[in-house]
Amino acid sequence: MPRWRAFWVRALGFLDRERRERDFAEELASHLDMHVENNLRAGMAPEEARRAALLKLGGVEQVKELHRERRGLPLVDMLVQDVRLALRMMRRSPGFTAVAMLLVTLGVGANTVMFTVVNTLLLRPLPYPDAARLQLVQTVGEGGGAAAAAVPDYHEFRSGNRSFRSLAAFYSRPLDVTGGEEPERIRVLIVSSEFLGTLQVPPARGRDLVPADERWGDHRVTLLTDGFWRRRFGADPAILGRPITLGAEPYTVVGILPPAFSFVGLEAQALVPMAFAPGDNMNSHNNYFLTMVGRLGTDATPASAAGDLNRISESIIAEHPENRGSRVDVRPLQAAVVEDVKPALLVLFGAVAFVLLIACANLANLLLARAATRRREIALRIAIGASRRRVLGQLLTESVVLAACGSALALALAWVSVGTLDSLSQTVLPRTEAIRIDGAVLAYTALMAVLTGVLFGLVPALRGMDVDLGDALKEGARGGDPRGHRIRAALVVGETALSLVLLIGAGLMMKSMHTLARADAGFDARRVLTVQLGVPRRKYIDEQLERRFSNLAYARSTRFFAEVVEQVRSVPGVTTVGAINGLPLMGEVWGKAVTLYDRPLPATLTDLPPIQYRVVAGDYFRALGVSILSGRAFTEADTEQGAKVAIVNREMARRYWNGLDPIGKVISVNPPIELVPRGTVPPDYEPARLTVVGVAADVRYAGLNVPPSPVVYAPFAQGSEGATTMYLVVRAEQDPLAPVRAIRDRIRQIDPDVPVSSVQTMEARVSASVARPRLRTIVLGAFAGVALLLAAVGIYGVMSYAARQRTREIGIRMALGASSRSILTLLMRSGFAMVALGVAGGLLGAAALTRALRTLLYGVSTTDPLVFAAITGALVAVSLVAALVPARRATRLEPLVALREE
Amino acid sequence: MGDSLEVRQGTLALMVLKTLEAMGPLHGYGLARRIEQTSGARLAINYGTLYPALLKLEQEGHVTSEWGRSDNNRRAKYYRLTRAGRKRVEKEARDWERTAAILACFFRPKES
Repeated sequence: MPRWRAFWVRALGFLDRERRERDFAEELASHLDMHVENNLRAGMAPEEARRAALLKLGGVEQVKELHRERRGLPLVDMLVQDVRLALRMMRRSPGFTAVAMLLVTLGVGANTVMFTVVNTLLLRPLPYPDAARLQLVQTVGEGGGAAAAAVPDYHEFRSGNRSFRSLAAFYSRPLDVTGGEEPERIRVLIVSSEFLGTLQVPPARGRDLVPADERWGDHRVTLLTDGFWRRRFGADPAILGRPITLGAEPYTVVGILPPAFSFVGLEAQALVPMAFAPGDNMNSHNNYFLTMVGRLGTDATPASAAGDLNRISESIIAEHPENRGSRVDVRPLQAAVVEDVKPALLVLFGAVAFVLLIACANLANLLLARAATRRREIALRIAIGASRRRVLGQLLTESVVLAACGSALALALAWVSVGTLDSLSQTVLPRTEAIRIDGAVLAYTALMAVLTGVLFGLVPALRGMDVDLGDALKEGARGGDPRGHRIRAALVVGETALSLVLLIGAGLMMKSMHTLARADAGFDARRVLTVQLGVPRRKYIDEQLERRFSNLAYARSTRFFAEVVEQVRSVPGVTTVGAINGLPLMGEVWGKAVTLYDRPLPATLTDLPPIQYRVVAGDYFRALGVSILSGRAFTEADTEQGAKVAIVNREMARRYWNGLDPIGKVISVNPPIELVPRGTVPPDYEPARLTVVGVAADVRYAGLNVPPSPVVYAPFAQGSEGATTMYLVVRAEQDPLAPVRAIRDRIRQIDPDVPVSSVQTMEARVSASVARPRLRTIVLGAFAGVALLLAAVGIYGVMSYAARQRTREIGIRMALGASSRSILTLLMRSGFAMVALGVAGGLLGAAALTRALRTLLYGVSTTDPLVFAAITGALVAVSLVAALVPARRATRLEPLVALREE
Repeated sequence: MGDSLEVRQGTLALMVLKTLEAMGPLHGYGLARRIEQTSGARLAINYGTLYPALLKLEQEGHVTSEWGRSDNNRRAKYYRLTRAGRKRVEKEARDWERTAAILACFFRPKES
């Protein structure tokens, strides 16, 4: 106990050091006075009395030092002293301090922001209790392509598995909310009853779903997200138990989700239970659309769970061969959510580490230059008895204090930047709402501060101490430090190499972006407006007829879209109007299998070639500028009563008809009855046979960077098959946004219950589709730009320092008649050497590291020689200019001035 | 002085405590003199070494100090034993006697 008490008293000892110092000085003075007095009384001479007393005491200063040591903890004391000294040094040279802090702030700030993002998305668990046990369970096709599970499969997985504490399934659909104000189309998550239980997120109000909610007829209940409840219903708690109109049906609100609820980046506004009417084709092995999420039991691992589910899958396949070739994949939900952004995040995180290293190299150079001017001070300290370790500690404290101050600024910078991330869309960066600076980030920044301080401070400190006392004190501050110069040059070579790696990386990304922007997407986005329109299913589709596969079921929706096209066409400023069920770049919307009647039927359903299916109304092809390569586009004559027709894209013609003209070939987008499982279709089922009447140019539906796959287009009137969501494509004479108001009015006149949403120009859609690659290109480009700037500053610094060191030598040479040209050559030689070594290192590094970009590049090899050459050339040019400026300045010296310089 | 002993830190602390116990509050110089007298001038202490020892005892809470007036009206800092200090003296004294007794067994001339 007393020992601990002593420790704390000492640890706090530095607080009132000056008072204690005075106090003890007085105590010693009184001690000496008493002793001297005694000695005098004993008969000594005054001189002698004082001397004897001092001797007996053992020296005033020595006693004071002993006392001082005991007073505080020497280590703490030393640290406080060093930090004070460091702050004083920083105040004394504000220019140096500002530059150094700027470097640290840039380097550490960029690192902190990146770490904040990485920490949230890759390190911190998802916002569910015990989130590590949550797994995304997906059925995948043979080729590895993500497929989905059918409802009956899910039921077997749910009841038969032994690995999951609970296994939920979900899919999402857009549904219209009507009644009250404007109709609105929202995304609804349709889930099995244990969905929230699996995530362990109980509703904030009301109740969770129960198994009984999955029963058809009892299923019209819904839970609203907090955001939707506040926005649409003004956070009215009385909404619980009341019905709202979803998809033209009344759903009772039974619960409200907690405010922070989010699920895998799906911006869903409501949950409804998954339920199917008896005999519903959705609930069969013809329809695969479910994804599952499960919470692992205590003993299970993702691998064991996958084994378990695949065992069940085998037994399902034995009974239902149409599932053949699919297997179940289980992986952690966290990894699944971020898998798209993870490679880019890691690349950018590596890039900021490079930037920080380069900043450290520059800082080390700055400190080295300063250490040279401080040699005298250091030599003096050592001469009057400071140990070398003590001086090293003090120099390191200086750099760490500098780094800490810079890091504090960096943290403020990061705070501001992280706030702006929220404005990014979920498609660019998932879970932006969760990204924030937390304890882990603070700890990371603190660690960075200390590490960078030591990293850029250690070499200069060791150099600074390597002084020959006699020389340093004798010789005035001047004098070369050849080894110091070599270290500085090596640092510059290193940072040149690092920045070349970053620049090449950024160059590859830019070229990829450029290739992407110039990729032939197959359409002309200029002056095109797109509008999403959804008709309420209840009102527009006759479900009785639909169950009998009668095309008459869709007569009303066909009429509606025909009328919309007709009406919008007459809006002033509009030239052409069409509609399609899925716009280019939106991703796959409707996959089907095609039957080609000019060849034998395959053995099973899964052997039919897959295609993307698009239904179009009006002049879609002309409106979007998609060329018809042969044959014709659809016309108004292609009605329900007319001959059934189709248009295929060029890729389809290439793949299945060897690029020969397929006009007149007969196909079907629904499987022949021979291949359909018995009992799932009525006995008189006969899929429509379509005659190919045209070939359209390849349009990139899945994204600019995805090569086109086979597409079959059908007229909406003949093949809508219950599609209720269409995108109007309007080509305008001038500004495509000008007619928006008029278009809205026309549609409201036709049916006020049809929500108009996602009004965007096609150019905006194109731009949004490359938002993610563009963002990472911009960020990496910015990092590379900073790196280049820092490297140039580094070269400039070393060259001017070297030139200054050689001022006398240059003066002598010039006095002896050397031309300024030969002086320039002399000085530039070292500049050339540094740049050459840096470039060599950088090229090697880039060749090894750009592999990490492979998945992020489109149409560019990771060792694209053009990019490597162009970027290297640019770097060499910039570095040589940075070297040339100080070298030329040195040659312009007057020899006399140069010689006098001392 | 050739025969005098160097004093170890711990021993010095004990001497200080014991002296304070016997004499009551004392200033540093008085304490030093007193310890020298008690030892019969057989100890060679630099008076200066006393002060870090006093500081340590103070930090541990065994003594306290305050400024006061000496006999001939001089300002001096007086050290006084605290309750914890008194306890420590008792304990150390007991320990010392036991240790001394044990050591004595070893150093006593062997009985043949």
